[in-house]
This record gives sequence, structure tokens and C-alpha cells, in this order.
Amino acid sequence: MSATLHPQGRFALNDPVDFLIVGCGASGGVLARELSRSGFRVVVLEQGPWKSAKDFGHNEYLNWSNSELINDWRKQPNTFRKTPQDKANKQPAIMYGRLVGGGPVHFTANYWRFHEIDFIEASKKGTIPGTGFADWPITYADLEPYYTKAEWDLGISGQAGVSPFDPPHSKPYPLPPMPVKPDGVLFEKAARKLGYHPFPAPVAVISKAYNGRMACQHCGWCEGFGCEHGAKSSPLPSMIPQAVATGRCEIRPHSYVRKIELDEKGRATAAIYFDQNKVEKRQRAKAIILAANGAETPRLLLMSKSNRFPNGLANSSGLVGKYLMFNTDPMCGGLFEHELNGYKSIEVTRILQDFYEVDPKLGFYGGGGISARFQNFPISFALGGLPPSIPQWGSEYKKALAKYFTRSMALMGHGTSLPMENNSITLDETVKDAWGLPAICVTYKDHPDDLKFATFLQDRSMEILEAAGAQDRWKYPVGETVFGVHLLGTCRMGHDPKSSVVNADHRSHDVPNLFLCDGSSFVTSGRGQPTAHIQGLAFRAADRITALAKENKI
Amino acid sequence: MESTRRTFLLRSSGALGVLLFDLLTPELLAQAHRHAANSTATGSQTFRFLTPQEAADFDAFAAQVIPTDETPGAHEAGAVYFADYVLSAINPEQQQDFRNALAMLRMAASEAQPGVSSFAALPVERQIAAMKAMEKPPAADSANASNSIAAETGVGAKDAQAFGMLRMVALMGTFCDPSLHGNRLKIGWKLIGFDDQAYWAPPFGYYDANAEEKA
Repeated sequence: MSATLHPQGRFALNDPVDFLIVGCGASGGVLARELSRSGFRVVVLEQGPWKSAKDFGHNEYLNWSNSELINDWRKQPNTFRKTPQDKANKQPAIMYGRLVGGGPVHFTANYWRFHEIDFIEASKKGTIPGTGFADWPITYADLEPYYTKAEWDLGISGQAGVSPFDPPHSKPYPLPPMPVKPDGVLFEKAARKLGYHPFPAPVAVISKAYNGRMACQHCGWCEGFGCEHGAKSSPLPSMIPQAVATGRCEIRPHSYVRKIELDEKGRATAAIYFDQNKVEKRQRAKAIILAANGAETPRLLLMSKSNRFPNGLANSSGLVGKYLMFNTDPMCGGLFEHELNGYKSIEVTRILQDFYEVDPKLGFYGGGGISARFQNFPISFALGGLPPSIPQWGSEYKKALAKYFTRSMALMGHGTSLPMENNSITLDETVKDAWGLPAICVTYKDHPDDLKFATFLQDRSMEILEAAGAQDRWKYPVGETVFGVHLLGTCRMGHDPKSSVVNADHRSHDVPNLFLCDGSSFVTSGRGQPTAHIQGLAFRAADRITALAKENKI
Repeated sequence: MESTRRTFLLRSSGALGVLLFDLLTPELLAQAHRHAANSTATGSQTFRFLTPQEAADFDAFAAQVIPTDETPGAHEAGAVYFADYVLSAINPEQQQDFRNALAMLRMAASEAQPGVSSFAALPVERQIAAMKAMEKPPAADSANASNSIAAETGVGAKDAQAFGMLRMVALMGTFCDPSLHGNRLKIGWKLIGFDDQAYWAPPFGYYDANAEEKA
């Protein structure tokens, strides 16, 4: 959809709008809608295009191999190293949604709230040497109303309270759970046999028509694809139309920000960006919110050096870009006698969270859940969906393809990553992107406990597959993480300016009219499904920023 | 006329935003989806990027990845036409890497049978031997084999990389959306039992039909 089709507000570059938001994804889309509805004039600068439901299809090659919805490593290369002492190699290291609507346009749609323990885990369990394990400056009670608001305003399907591990919900989900799939049936019965408590997965897909949007048609093309029905509850069909309908919000796609400018008083005044034609522009604003994701937000701060901030904007703590967390995702598979046809309908319909916390006697920190899921569309299945023990080409391979595609399922663990100061986003000045800007360098090495817990989750998953009657079971190796999709923790939230980058209102400690709100705000990683938390934080941030603005405190 | 009205509805819904989606039925969407898939399903018979020799070599390679037996394989699916199409029309920047991989395939062929410089010209058993030699050369089994970064160095690793690229393209060409000139007649999808329908309704498989009895 061309942006010109929208009856949206238009603002001149030299017009200091109330809020300039960088990034129109999971959090930026929410902030744009909330702030424009509150009466503020908002400009949103988004790197990627502004697509719509009619642009989305089922072309696996174009979506994945051609970076239709995500960052394109050919234009925006990454480098990677395990430790700061290593030489960084040029290779894809992160992935994020690069379009209006952001990652939730293409994500699997799992929508898990944090639990009470996530916010206070360090004080409950003690710090962990060598890590930045810490409490959040807010509690579950602070955020609960905003989880609820996100669920109702975006459209989440699920069944609250059915799991004994579920945190308190002030309201049920607005939509009933999605129909259980064959893998969910098998998973549920097997998990119950083992004494666990499986329950319907909360998902950002509407099970019934909702707010003028069509219900899910179970086409199955969720993970990696935009929804041509508008049934996936990303900001694209939910927040964005309502934001532009105010007439006070202008969304500018293909706008790639390279620097945030300050005035002599140390206040943010403008963003310098490249437009679609790589022509440099400068948009003025009274306040700026970075919602560009946990990699691009710290990158932009690090690129916005000045005499006042020689190590990067808002980086007096030296922590911008540090404490990167990816989550772990151990996976195994099972083959069954009859057809599961996992490619039909959404990826996940049943999960369990019995391992949200584990017995300290195990000797390692960790927590998470397990989902039963469809994992591979035809191309990706052929490339790597079979058990590793099966030949990967030839006659036996062909027979296995025919046997396994409709009759296998995956169990995936979703686990914690500890915050480690060495794990980081930095600038690699030796590698430039297509705009001449320094590439993102990812430094990442899992904490040993993260890998131990991932292995623990995988072992429990294998037991569930056995209890489900799988004819064949297999593991994919649990190894060190070299690629991240969940981009968390790189501008962490906290009360102390020396040990955090933003405060509990997402305001940077160093620049009073600069806010950071996306995965970068995370203090701990949660249990592997960050989107609900990112959007709960965004709704809360919008409330806090609105209050501050109306009290003239920005 | 009905078809025109449905196509119009679909286009209109896109132009005007998501609010019109509640006017669409699953049947309308399914018809539009079928139309879109079929309208571009016919592939080219000539090559725009590949030379005849390269096309023959890659076609023979793909035919060993997904062989033809009692059911069609990568050859019948037209994987080679997918390769030619995407490398000429969508990802031309990858042409040289693909061409280099084919050159390494020819080298493997000449090592499998001295004097032969065409993979396609090898007898089947020599083709398979050449592919096995490329897939797992001695250097790829080094101590660094588990480290994908370190494995990028060394002649053996380059063989494996070339093999991996050719295998990947063969599989993409067999299982891709038919609009990309591969997966002709949906041969790949039929092989694995994938049905590209635009919408489904429960039950989706065996275990959710009368779940109480069968799970």
C-alpha cells in the first residue's frame, strides 16, 4: 500500500512535532496510536516499506530468501564474534521485521505475558556472579493493566487462568482460543500423562472477527509471512489505521535514521535520516522516542556521538548496547502414525509453562516453556526439517520427505538468557551498510546456565514425544547461539543512571526528552516470547509519556 | 462476471484498507489465490542465465538430490528453470556464486572420471560418488566442523559450500511457489503431501478429529 493512499497527517520537516518516533514495529506502532489519540502530533520514521494485506502471499522463497519482510543482510551486513577479544566475521547475526508493523507482521504470534517472578527474580533468588541479573524497576502489578490493554486493543486469542502457572489477569482474553491442532491434541494428552499442565496458547491471531477484521482462515502461513486476511494482530491492521485516522500521525516508510541531534542544552531536537532516494532529511521534534528494536536503537545511539556524548548518545553509563539477550529455543521432533498436517492453521495451539521456574537443586538458573508446533514450510522442511540421521539427498531422502512432512511435529523450548555485559551490539567501522553507515557487530556467548537449561527443556520435550507415542524422535543439537531474533536488553531499564540507560518511564537518564521503548528496555529476558511484554511496556510508556507531557515535564 | 466481481473485491479491499475484509468470504479468497497461482505457473523452456552446459549439469545434480523413481523428482519439477529464473530476474547478484559452484561440480566430475568435464555426462553411479566427495570432503571434518564460521576456510570447505548451495537451489526449485518457474505441476508439494489451499477448517488431521478417541 502506498503511503499516499492514507488520509494521514502531514508535517513539514522544520515543524517541531510533539513526538518523533523512530521505528514503526511492535512498540512504535503502539506508541504512534496512543500518542496521536492523546492529541499529540506524531511523525514515525520507519526503515522499511508500508505494506498491506494485499501485498502478502505464500511465497516461501521470496519471504525468507529474499528478505521481503525482514532486514536484508546484503544491504545491512552484520559482523559476529563470541567475545570482545575475537575478530568479528561478516555474517548474518540478527533478524528483525523491517516494515511498518515490524516483527509482529511475520512472527509466529505467540503472546506470553511475563509472570510476577520475572520482575523480581534477582532479589528472590540472588544475583548470579558474572552477570547483570537484576530486578526490574516495575512490577507485574504495574504492568498488568497494560498487558490487558494490549490484548484487547490488538486482539489476542486465548484462555486466561486455565494454567496453574498463569499470572493474574484482570480480564479474560477478548477472543476464545484457536481450535486445537492435531499436534496440540497429542501434546496435551502426553503432557497430562506426565503430570504437566498444558493449556491453549495465547496468540496474536483473532479466532473470530474482531474490530472490523476478518477471523483467521487457518491458511497456515503465519511464521515468516504477513497475513493476507489481516487476522494476525500486528500493529499493521490494528494500531496503524487508528493512528493515521486521527489526522495527527504521519508515518514515513523508507526512512532510515542515522543520527539524533542535540541542542546546546543537551535536549534532542531532530533526527537526520535518509529517505527512499537516499536523500538526507532532518525532522525537528520536541521529543524523540526510539522504538527501533534492541539492535537498531543502541546502534543509533552509538552513531549519535557528540562532544557532550563522545561514547554515544545517552551513554554516560557506558551500557548502551550491552547485556544483549537472545533467548534459547531448543527443538526436537517426532514422527507419528497418522497425519498431523501441521501446515494447516496457526503454528502453535498448545503450550506448557510447568518449567517457568526450575528446582535450584538442578544446579543452574533457567526458566521457560514448551510449545507443540509446526515448524517448516515445504522449502525449509526439505532444507533441514528431517531428523539429522537421515541422508540429506537421494532416494532415502526423498522417501523420508514423503513420509515425514504431514506426520511429524516439533516441540520447541523457550528459555531464558542471562544478561552478560560482554554480549552486546556495537558498531563495526570496518564494514559499512548500503548507506555508508557502520554495520552492527554482535558479540554473543551464552552463559553456561542458558545452555544447561535449554538441554533440560529439550530432554523434557523428548519425554513428552515418547509419551505421545512418537514412532521416531530426534533432537537438533543445542549449541552456542550465533544468531538472534529476540533482540533484548541493550538499553536496560533501572533507577540508577550508573547501571541502566532508561528509567521506569523509558526516559533516558541523560537526555530528558529522549525515550527508548522496545526490546532494548528489558532487564531480564523473560521466557522466550517477548512481544507481549514489549507491547505492554509500550502501552504503559505511552501513558507515562502522555502524563509527563501534559504536566509539561518533558 | 462472478470472477470479475470477486477479483474486484479483493483488489478493492487492498486499496481501501483492512476494513473491507469482513466482506470477503473464504471462498472468494480461495478463488483469488488459485487464480494468482495458476496465472504464472507456466515456466520458461529457454534459459536466460545458464548456458546449456550449466543447465544440463545442474539438472543432473538436482535429479540426484530428488531422484525420479515411481514418482517425479527435481528434474520433472523443473528445478533448473527455477534456478535460471531467480538468478536472472530476482537475485542476479548471486549469479557468480552459483556459476562458481557449478565449476566446482565440474571439477568434482573430472576427479570422479578423469577426462570428463561435464557432471551430466557421468554415469549415475559416478555422479553420486562425485556428490558424496563434494558434500563431505576431509577438510570439513576438522575440529572446526561444528563452528560454521571457521568452516568457511579451506579447499574442502569450499567444496562443501558449493555442494550446499547447489542442493539448496535444487530443493528451492522443487518445493517453491510455482510462480517462480519451479515445482511444476506442484510436483514437489504433491510428493510431501502439502496442499496449498487458501483456507482450512478443523479437523486438520487425524488426531483432532474425535480427539477423545484417537489421541
